[in-house]
Amino acid sequence: MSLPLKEMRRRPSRFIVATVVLSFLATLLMFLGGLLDGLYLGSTGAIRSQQGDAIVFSSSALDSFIRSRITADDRAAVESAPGVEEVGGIGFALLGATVPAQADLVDVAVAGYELPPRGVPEPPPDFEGIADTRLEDQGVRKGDTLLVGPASVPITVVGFVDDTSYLLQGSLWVNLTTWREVQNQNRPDAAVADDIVQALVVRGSGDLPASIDAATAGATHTLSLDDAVLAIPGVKQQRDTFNQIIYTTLFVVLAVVGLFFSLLTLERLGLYGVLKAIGASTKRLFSGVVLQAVFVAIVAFVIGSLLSIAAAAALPVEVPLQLTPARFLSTFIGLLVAAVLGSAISLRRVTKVDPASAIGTAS
Amino acid sequence: MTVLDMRDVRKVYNSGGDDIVALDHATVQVDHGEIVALLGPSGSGKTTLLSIAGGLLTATEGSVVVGGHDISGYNAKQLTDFRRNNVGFVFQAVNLVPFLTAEENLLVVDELGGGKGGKQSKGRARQLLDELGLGHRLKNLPAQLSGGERQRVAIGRALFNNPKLVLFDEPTSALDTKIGEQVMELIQAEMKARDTAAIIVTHDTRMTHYADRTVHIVDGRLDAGSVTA
Amino acid sequence: MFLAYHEMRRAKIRFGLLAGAVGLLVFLILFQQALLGGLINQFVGALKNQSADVLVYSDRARQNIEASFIFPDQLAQVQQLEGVSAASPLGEGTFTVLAGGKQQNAVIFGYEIGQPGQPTNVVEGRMVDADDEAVASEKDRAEGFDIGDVVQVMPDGVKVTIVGLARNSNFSVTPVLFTHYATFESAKKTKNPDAEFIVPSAIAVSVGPGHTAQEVVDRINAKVDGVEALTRQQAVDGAPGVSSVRASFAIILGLFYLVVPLVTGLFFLIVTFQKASALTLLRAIGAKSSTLVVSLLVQVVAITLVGSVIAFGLYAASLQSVKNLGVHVEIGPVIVTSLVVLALALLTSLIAVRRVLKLDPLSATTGAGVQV
Repeated sequence: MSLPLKEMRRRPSRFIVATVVLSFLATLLMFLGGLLDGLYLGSTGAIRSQQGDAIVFSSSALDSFIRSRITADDRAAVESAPGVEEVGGIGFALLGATVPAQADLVDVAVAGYELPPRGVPEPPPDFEGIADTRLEDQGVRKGDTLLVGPASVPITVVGFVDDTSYLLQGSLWVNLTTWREVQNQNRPDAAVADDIVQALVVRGSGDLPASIDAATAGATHTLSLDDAVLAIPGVKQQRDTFNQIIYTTLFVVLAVVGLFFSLLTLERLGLYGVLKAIGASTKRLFSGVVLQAVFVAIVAFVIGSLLSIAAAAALPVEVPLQLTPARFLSTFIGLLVAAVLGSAISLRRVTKVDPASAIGTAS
Repeated sequence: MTVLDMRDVRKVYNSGGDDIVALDHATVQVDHGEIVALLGPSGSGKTTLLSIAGGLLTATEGSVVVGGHDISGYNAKQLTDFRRNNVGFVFQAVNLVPFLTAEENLLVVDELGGGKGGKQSKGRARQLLDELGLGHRLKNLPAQLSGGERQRVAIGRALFNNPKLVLFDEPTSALDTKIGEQVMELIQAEMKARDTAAIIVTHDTRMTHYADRTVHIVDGRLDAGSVTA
Repeated sequence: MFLAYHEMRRAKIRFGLLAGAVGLLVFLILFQQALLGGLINQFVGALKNQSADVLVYSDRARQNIEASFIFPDQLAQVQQLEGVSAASPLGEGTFTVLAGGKQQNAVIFGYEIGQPGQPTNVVEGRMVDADDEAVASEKDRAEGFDIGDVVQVMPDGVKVTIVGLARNSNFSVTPVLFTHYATFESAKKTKNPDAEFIVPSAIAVSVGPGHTAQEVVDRINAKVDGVEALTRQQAVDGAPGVSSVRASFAIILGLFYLVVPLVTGLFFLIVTFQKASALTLLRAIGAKSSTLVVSLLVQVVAITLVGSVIAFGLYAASLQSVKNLGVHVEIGPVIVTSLVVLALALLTSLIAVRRVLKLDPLSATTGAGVQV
C-alpha cells in the first residue's frame, strides 16, 4: 500500500471529518439530481414513450396538449404531407379518480391514443384502460374500475405500463372514444366533438415539422418528439434551476476539499521537505494529495448514495425523487472532478517546499 | 578515490538587493570511507556547503562532482533523481514519516523511486535495521521509539540505497551525550564497513574525534582540513 | 482582535477558502429559500393573494381548482349558510392570449366585482371596474401585461386592458389576469365554441364577523353535497405540487444547514490543533484563556460575515437569472439566514474553544515541540 493510503489508515481522524462533510454534500447532490430526474421523468413519460417522430399541435395552443385542438380537416392535411407515414390522434384529461375501497382520490391523466406508446398494446375496448405503474404504487390494481372525474366515468384497468406518466400524474391509456367521454362529461365547458383530438403523433421521415406545417398552411405547429418533451410546462425551467444548484453545490465540494487539504498540506510542510531531500519529486507528493482527495470523494459518494437511497425509501410517494444509474454516474464524476480540482489548490504549496529546508532546521 | 570533489564553489544569496556570500571559493574533497566533520558557528555557511554537496542547492560558481556525476549544471528534476540514487541524508529532528513503521521508513526510499517494496527490498530493510540493533523494532512507529533509536532508523534510511556519500546534519543535537556518542560510533562503524564517504555537520567538538578529518568553516571560508583520527 | 486579524491576514488562502465555502453554502440556502417562495407564488400566488377567506371546490377536484366546477344549486346552498357574508362564483381557466404581440398562456381568474376573490396585492394601478379591464400579475409586465397593454383571448375573443398589477400573484407558473366574472365567461366561450354552458370553477366566500374561516369550512362541508371547502391557506397548501415542493425543499435546506456548521466547526478545530503549540506559548507568556477564546470567536464571526456578504452578492446576481420566477431581493431573509448560520457556526466552534481552554501553559516549557 502506498504512502498516502497508509496515512489515511493510520491517522484516520482528520479524513473522517472531511468524509462526513463530503458525504452530506454527496447526499445533497444525489437528492437534488434525483428530484430533478423525478420531476423530469414523471412529467414527460407520456411523451417520451411515444413511438413517433413528431407531435402536431394546433398553432394557437402554444405546444400545450390541454389547449390544442386538431380538426378532421387539419388531420387530413397532415396525413397528406410529404414524409408522413402514420398519424395517430392523442388527447389528455387531468382529473381525480376514485379507486375501489380507497378513501382518497388519485390523480390520473386519462390519455386517449391511436398509435400505441412503448409498452402499451393497441387501444383497448371502450371504458377499459392500461394504467401507468405510478397508479399501481397508489393502490390501483388490475381489474379495478376507476371512477374518473366529478362525473364518475368508469374505466376498468386491464393492464400496467411503466414510465408513461404526464405532469406527475399516472396515465390511464384509453381509446379516443373513452377519452372524449371523460372529457365531455367532466368538462362540459371544454367538450370535444367526435372527430377532434388534441394533438397528433406522426411517424415518418424527412423534415416533418416543416412539411406538416406547410401542408396545413400554418394551422398547426409541429415539434420533434424531443422538442415536445421540453415544451411540457416547467420542464426546461426546472432543469435549468436545479442544474444551477447542483453546479454550485459542486463548487462547495471543491472549496471544502481545497480547504481541508490545504490545512493538511500545511501540517506536512516539514515532512515534505525531508521527502523531497531524499529524492521525492513534487509530482509524486502532489499525486499523493490527489489520491487522498479522490479516495475521500469515493467514500463520500458511497455513503451519500446509501443515504439518498434510504431517504428515497423513507419519503412519502408524493416527493418525486427518482434515483437513476445515470445520476449516480454523473454525481460520481462531479465529485471526482471537484475533489481533484479542490486538491489542486495545494499544488502551489507543495511545489514551493524547498528540499534544502530539511537541512538546518531543528524542528 | 574521491567521492565528493567540490572546487572553487561560491554561493551568493540575494537578500533585499544586497548580495550575501554564503560560501566563498570552497574547495573540499572526500574519499571513499572517509568521514569529514564540518565544524563552524551558526551562519558560517556549513548548511549551505552540505546542501550543495547533497544536490539540495546549486552553486553560483564552481564545480561539484559526486561519485563521478558532475551535478553543477543539473536542473531540479535531475537533482531529485540524483539525490534519490546517490546520496543519503540524516537530518536533525524532522526525519521520519510519523505514520510509518521503522521498516516502512526505510522502504519509503524504494517507493519514492517507483519501486514496489518487494521481498528483496523488505529483506534489505530488515537486514539494515538488524545491523543497527533495531531488529526487534521493525513494526514500531517513530513515536514509540527513543530519540537514539529514531536517529538509527534515519541512518538505516540514508544507507538503504547504497549511497556513495552520506550527509549528516547535526545528527546528535537532539540527543544527550551518551546516546549521541553511541550514534556517532554507529555512524563510524557503518561508514567504514561500507567504505562510504560522509560529511557530518556539527558544532559539538566532543563528536569530532569520530571523524577522520575536521574542516572548519567561518564566514563561508574553509580552513585546511587536519586529520584528527 | 489583534491576534485574530493578523492570523487571518497571514493565511489568506485558508480563511478565504473557508469564507468562500460558507458564502456558497449560505447563498445556496438563500437561493433555495427564494426558489421555494418563488415556486409557491408561481404555483398558487393568485390563490394566496386574493380576498376570499374560504374557497369551495367540487369534491372530486382533489383540491385542484383546474379540475373543479360548481353547479348553481351548490352556490345557492353555500350562500344560505350561517357565517357566510358573501359567496360568489370564481372562474379559473388557462387560455391562449395575444399579449405583447405574441401568443402566450394566461390564467384568467374571474370574480364578481365587489365580491370576494379580488386580488389583494395590487402594487400599481387600480382594481377592475368594467368587463374590459384586468389586473395582471406584476412579474409578467414586460411580456405585454403592463398597465395600458391590451390583451386578447385567442382566437379572436374578448379584449381586456390592464389597469393594475398584483405582486406574487401567478398561477401554475403562468401569467394571471384578474377579470370580472363575465369576462371569464366570454373567454371560455371563445376557447371552446362547443361548450354547452359555462360553470364557475369554485365559490369564493367571505366569512362574516364573529365567525372563523375554519368554522365556515366545516359547516359547508357538512351541509353541501359534492363540494370541498378549504380555507385560503388550506387551498394554497393543498394545491397540486405545493406540498411535494415543500417536502423536497425541507430536506434539501435541512442538509445545507447541517453542512455549514460542520465545515466551520471542522476548520476551526483543525486550525486550533495546528497552532496548539503557538497558543500554549502565548498562554505561557501570559495571555489569558479568554483572550485566545475571544480571538477564535472573532474569526468565526468575521468568516460568517464575509461569507454572508459573498452569499448576498451571489444571491442578488443569481436572482437575475431566475427572473422569470418573479423573486425579489429581500434583505430580511438574508439577515435571518446569516444569523442562523452564525449561531450554528459558533455552536460547533465550541469544540475548538474547549480545546483552547484545555491548553496547559506549563507544557510550553517541557519542549513538547510541534507535532508533525
